[in-house]
Amino acid sequence: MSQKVPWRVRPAARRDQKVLAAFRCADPAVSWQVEVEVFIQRDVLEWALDPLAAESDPRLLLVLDRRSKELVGVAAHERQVMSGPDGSFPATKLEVVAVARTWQGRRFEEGTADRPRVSDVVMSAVMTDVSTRVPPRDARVFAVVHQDNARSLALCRRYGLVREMTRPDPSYRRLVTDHRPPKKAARK
Amino acid sequence: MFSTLNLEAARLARLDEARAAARVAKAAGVLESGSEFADLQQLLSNLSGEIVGAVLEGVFPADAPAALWGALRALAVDTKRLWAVQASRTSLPEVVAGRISDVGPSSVTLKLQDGQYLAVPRWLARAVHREEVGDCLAVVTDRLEECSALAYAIAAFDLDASPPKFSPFGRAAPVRDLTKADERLLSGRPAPLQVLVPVTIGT
Repeated sequence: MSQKVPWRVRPAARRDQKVLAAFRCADPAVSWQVEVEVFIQRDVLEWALDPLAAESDPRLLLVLDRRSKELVGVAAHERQVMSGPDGSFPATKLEVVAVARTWQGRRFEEGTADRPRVSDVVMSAVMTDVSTRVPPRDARVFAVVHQDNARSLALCRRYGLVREMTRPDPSYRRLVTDHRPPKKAARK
Repeated sequence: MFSTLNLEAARLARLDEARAAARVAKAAGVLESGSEFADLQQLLSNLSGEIVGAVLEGVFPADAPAALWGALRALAVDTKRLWAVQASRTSLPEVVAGRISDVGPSSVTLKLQDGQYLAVPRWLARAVHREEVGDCLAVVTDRLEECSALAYAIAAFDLDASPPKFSPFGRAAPVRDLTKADERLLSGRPAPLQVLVPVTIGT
């Protein structure tokens, strides 16, 4: 018989408004952290449930502690198209990935070495969700991260967002999954 | 680049309102030959195509220079003054502007400058990148006949506010534009996604 993991991941629904409004992930003295928290508390549910955005397949995932039912992490992503002077590229934007303040830096079932980090569960949930969407998403995933957000930058790197595009703002970095050189046409 | 008054003069000319068209065109000429207009043209000519394109679509990019904000503001103040003068002598379309105070599934509520509220179809607001609470939006209504009118939305800026600050969140976030270098980076095959912890997504 398989053992239940100590977390539960599910898509958010309208009924989650209160729990999202109470979500805390920021140090109030750090403006870019507060920006994330405010987006989650106030805007992310509308972002996810916006009927006019259905084509972008927005997804908002909640990671809960199975025992306490506490909201441990929030993650959201959607399909986007990036455009440049010579063309466009389908991609998935990681809209937000956040771990509750009381769970930051922790593992599930504290003290047990083989239990994963909470941040790894949240990020793995996003990547699993992206890779199982129907119709399939492009494997090109990008995230916009504040340059001082060392934890998120490291987490992105761990999940393969190792390349960097131009910055959309001097304070924000735009990371994207690695790309391999295009296949050359086979010679006869 | 033309003043909106010039576009209005063209509309009046199409309606055979020759005298009114000439009067509005003259007012437009005053603006277009002024120093504010020249300053704006000079500023835009030194900016990248991405920034100019964004401004023309009603989005003020966070990396645009503050001087551009100042130039737009100066021109808007002059245009508003001349528009008011012309509107008192000619039947110019009605322009109402305000800030979005509520967003519903099919409409946004615009709180107008006089404190009244106006419901605007959400698709109309979306077309000019204005569909979040706090966004500024203008609606122009041109009366055609007793029972018909043409209405269109224009992206508006609160020119008394500070230039907008960059935010990575939301669908209006300016994070999808690529440079040629970005395009080269993305031109290969994306590597498979990495999942370090097996996770099941419930319902």
